[in-house]
Amino acid sequence: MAEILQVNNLFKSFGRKQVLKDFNMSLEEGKVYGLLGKNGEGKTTLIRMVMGIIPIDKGKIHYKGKKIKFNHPCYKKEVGYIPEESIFFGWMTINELMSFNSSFYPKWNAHKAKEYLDRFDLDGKIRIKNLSRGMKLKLGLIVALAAEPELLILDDPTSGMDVPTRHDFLKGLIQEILEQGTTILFSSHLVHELEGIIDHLGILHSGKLILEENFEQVKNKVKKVHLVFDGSVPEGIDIEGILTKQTDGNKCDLGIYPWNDEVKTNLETLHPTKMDVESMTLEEIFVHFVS
Amino acid sequence: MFAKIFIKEWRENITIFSLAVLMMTATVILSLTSKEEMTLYSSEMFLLLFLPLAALLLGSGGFYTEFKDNAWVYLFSRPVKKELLWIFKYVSQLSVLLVIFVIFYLVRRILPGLDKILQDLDINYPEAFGERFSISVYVVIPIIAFTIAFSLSLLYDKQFIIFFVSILLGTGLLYISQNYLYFLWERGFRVRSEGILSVLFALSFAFASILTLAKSDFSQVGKKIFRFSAYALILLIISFLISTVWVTRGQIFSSSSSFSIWHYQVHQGKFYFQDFRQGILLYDPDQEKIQRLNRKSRFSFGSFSLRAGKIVFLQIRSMRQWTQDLWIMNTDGTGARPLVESSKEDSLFYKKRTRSFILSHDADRVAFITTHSEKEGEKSVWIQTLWQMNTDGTRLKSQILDVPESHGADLIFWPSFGNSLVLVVHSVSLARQKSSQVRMIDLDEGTSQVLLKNIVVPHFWRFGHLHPSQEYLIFRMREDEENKESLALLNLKTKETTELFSADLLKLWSGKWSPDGSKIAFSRGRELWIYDLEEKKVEKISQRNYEYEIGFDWTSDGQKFILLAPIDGENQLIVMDSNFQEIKSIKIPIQFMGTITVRGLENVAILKGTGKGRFWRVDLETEEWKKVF
Repeated sequence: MAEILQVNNLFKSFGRKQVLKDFNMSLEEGKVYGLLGKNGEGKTTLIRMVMGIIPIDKGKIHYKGKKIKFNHPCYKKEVGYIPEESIFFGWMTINELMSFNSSFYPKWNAHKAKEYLDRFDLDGKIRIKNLSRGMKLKLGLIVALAAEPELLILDDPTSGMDVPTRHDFLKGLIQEILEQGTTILFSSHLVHELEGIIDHLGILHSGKLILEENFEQVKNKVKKVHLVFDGSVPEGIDIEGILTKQTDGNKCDLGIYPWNDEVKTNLETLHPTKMDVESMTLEEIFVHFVS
Repeated sequence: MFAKIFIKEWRENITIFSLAVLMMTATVILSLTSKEEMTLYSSEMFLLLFLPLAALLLGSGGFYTEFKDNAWVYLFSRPVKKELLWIFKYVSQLSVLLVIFVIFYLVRRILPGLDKILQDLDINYPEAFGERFSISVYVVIPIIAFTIAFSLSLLYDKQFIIFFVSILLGTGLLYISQNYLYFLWERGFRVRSEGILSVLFALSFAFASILTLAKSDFSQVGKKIFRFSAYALILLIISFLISTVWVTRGQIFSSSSSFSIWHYQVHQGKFYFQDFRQGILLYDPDQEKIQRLNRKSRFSFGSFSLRAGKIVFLQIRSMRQWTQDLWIMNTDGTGARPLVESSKEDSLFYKKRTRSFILSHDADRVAFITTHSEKEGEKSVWIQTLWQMNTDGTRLKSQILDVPESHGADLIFWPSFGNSLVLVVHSVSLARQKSSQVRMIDLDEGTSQVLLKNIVVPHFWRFGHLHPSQEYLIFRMREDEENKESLALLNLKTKETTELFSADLLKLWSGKWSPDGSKIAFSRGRELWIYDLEEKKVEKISQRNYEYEIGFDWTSDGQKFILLAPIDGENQLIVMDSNFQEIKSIKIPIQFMGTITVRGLENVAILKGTGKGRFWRVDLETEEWKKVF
């Protein structure tokens, strides 16, 4: 499967604070890539660099194999972008914004835009400054989708959405978009939302991707192990792949990545009286990785 | 895309446009009600206050909505180059300003009363724009102000700060450009296109802004400002360099350049002349070389007075106020220094314009006339003052001249005997020239005596009309009642006038004394005549009828007489002996433009046409022609 977006050795600082350090990432065409990270880890910064809003300090970004240069915006005709907060020119009406935006995209589909407006129950004559946050988010979606992008980048778009809209978006709209062959980069800190949607997972922490893998494989490889011992928990449990460790009396909970037979065998050598292995939710995976 | 951005920018700036239309409507209404004073006031407010402020307001709000709504994230994530966005926004917003200008221009044209009022609107703008300009300059300054403000508007989200910083930067740069022009001026360059520097400044800011937008993270204010400042500084330096080259082009002296001769004098076989750009120059026919006498004289204007190894000339100090100072230098260009200083408020010559000046025969003293206006009740009157002083600045004396209104006084001669000056008082209107007078002023007594009335003042009466003994002056005179002119000889010692010759109106022109002073040659239309002073006889000496007015002169040794005349459609130089017998006729192989003047040096004749680059010499023996420039 071809890679639609590739990020290599990316560095970005704001003053003395280094936000991204030697960051690498690649997106396969037609997949949903979930990018997780705590607040302030650099998700938005990364996305803004991909969108050419802010310049790169060092590194490269390739779109469909071609290097993206700052302020060389041709590739953006195929990229839809929904920022965390959809901000437009407040004095414009929705229809005016649609008209204004359409001038930038040769593939702008006005019919689709109208459909989405109806679907989200937005009146085109309303001024943007009079829209609620949730309505602006919906508008942002429409602005991005009506251009029929090949790559859709969502920067935590659902945090201001109401539940029905979020549900509709996550369960319905995403699927429709995927069926059109659009690749999606979904950045969020609402981890639980991404479960069931994403194909690929990336966890951003301390400026780097500390995990980047197919989500099914991640689920198989990341395990929660509950150990019970006679007496106290042995000290210095030194097994490769321990993400987290919590001890309580004679009990020990471990987060393990990658889970494999070797790790299992190593744990058995500790002679626990009980060893339970469970899969983690995405949220638990995220917590264990960034702890 | 441009159309959508255009509409967007107009929508965002419709308030300013509406205000402008409102103001113009008020002006129109006032104009229609024939309230001239109010119309002028309203127009002045519109042009001087509203337009520049509107331009600044418009410009400083260039990226305001992008900041205000944080919509820059949305806009810069669109597939369009930032430079293009900048340009589209700039052009769109500038069009608002331009439409205001166009409407104002149309309103002026439609309402003739308004147009007339505005013709009288005469405001000096800073010297960076040189002299007074027509109303169109009120368009240029707002555009420059707008460009600067727009360029800065992407740096910060507080519009009022951008507004004031634009004013500070704009006025600061204007101040710097003025001083820079003075800097060039003081180094001997005549500055012509002052406005170019201001335009280049505006362009520098624009380019710096575009580059900053294209290269910077819009959210980081500090880095944006730093980057912008760096770009702007480099571009401003380049602007200074370009402006320097532009302003000074053609002014680096080269003896092979072409010159425009405004005024000239022959002294000791050398040809001294004045060029608009290069100042006072000297052509040495023996060495066949042109040299610039002194760089300071580059700012000289009008004529110069050359006597006894010294030259006095007027140097322009300020183009804006048109102030001039009198300077003196040696005929070799050394020792240039001001004689009077009129820049300081405590100077006697502050706000006084020197219009005429002359050196004494020994160049120890200089006399000059200044004019200035004074309030007499509600009226302004022009006062003309005659000054005299030693050329070392001592013994300054003055007296106010009794000159009728609409008349000017010009010094024409300072005789070597006695201590008096000869001046002409003439109407400033050409149609009233016959009311001119020749007066003699006794510099010791301060008294004035009219020597001649009703003289005609040809524009070059300074030359050739002074007898070599310096005791006589020759003039054309015209009687009111008769259509007759006469040639009159004024004896400066006895103050007696002798009518030499009388003829039909407008026929007498140009006179040249022979070097020994025994004869004067003058033209009567297409004829050449001689008046012999000793024999008191006038006779025609031209043997043919020439097709139009001619030029003539004696050679400096008096042995030959040169006549420049058209014969059979061709200009020829006719060389005569001292008895006016033709020796030879030299064909002139060059086409001269306009009037040709001929000056005889010893064995060489100098021919000068009007305009640039028409200065030739011919050897009267070998008939060899050489172009001087």
